[in-house]
Amino acid sequence: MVSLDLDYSAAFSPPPVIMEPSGRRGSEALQRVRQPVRTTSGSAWHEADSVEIVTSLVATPLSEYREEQAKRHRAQFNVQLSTKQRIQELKDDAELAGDPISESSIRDFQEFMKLAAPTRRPSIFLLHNGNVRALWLNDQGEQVGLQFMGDGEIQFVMFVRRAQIIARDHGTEELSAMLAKIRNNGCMHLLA
Amino acid sequence: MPANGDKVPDADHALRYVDKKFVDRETGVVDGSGFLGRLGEGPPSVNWMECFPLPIENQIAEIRAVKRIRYEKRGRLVRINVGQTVKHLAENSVALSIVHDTLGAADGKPADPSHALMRGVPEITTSEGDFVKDLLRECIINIYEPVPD
Repeated sequence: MVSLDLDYSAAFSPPPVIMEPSGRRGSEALQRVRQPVRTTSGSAWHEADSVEIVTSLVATPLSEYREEQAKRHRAQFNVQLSTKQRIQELKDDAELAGDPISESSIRDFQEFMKLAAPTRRPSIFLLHNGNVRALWLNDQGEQVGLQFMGDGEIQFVMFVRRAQIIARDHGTEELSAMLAKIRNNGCMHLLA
Repeated sequence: MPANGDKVPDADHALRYVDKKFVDRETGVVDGSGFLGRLGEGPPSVNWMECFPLPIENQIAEIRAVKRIRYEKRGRLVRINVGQTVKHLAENSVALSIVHDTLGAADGKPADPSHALMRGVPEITTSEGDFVKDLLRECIINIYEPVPD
């Protein structure tokens, strides 16, 4: 049996569950099963003949899965690169202008990005108080906005579409619990 | 035309200059923090656009001629509709008003008849403050690149 649940938090580690019959490789994993069938003698079931059933066990061939994973990893790498460039730009601007910038906030932001490993880059800003703010938006009016307060604290503002309304939530959460908060609010698709 | 202290008409528009650190050029997104000044600076300033005649490019040029702040290339000008903005914030329990606040000539700078103030934006650093800023961001109709100083 092959699990197609691909959600996992680490950027480059393999998925939690994937199995295939030993010795089988290639684009499809197959399994042969044997089943007893009723004979014409009318007696009780006995295994006179069997039917080989060749069943395709995976909806998506392994090569397609590998291609999706490679694409995901490339997107994550690009996000990491452009995020790093944006943070450096903000630091350079802050230094030139004499504006405050919180190293603790930057560290927390980087830690969150490592945990979340998003394939979409957020918009990134430097606030008047020196904190970094990351903002994911989509064209449905949804958002995940995170202000990294430093010392493991995050201020969040989330908007998510629910049928006919936009549900709005804001508050404060610990960095370690922030991903779960986003998931519980149904907003993970904004980062994916 | 509103007198000083009067609310800017709901049908009209306001223009706000947003500092470059609240603009992410790669994504094209402006953060709502761009609507607020620093703590203690008082209500944020905007320009009432219909103080000057259309087209929009002319209104922006006229505002630029009387502005008191510096425009940078990486900053942005954002345009909002007054009535829609007030309504959107009211629907989320924030009582906002945009009032006319003409500036007279001073320090060699010309008078600014378009100057207005956004009253009611809370100066708070909690998540509620971030929430209000994001509501304001949702009200942005247009974003323009300024002619830098």
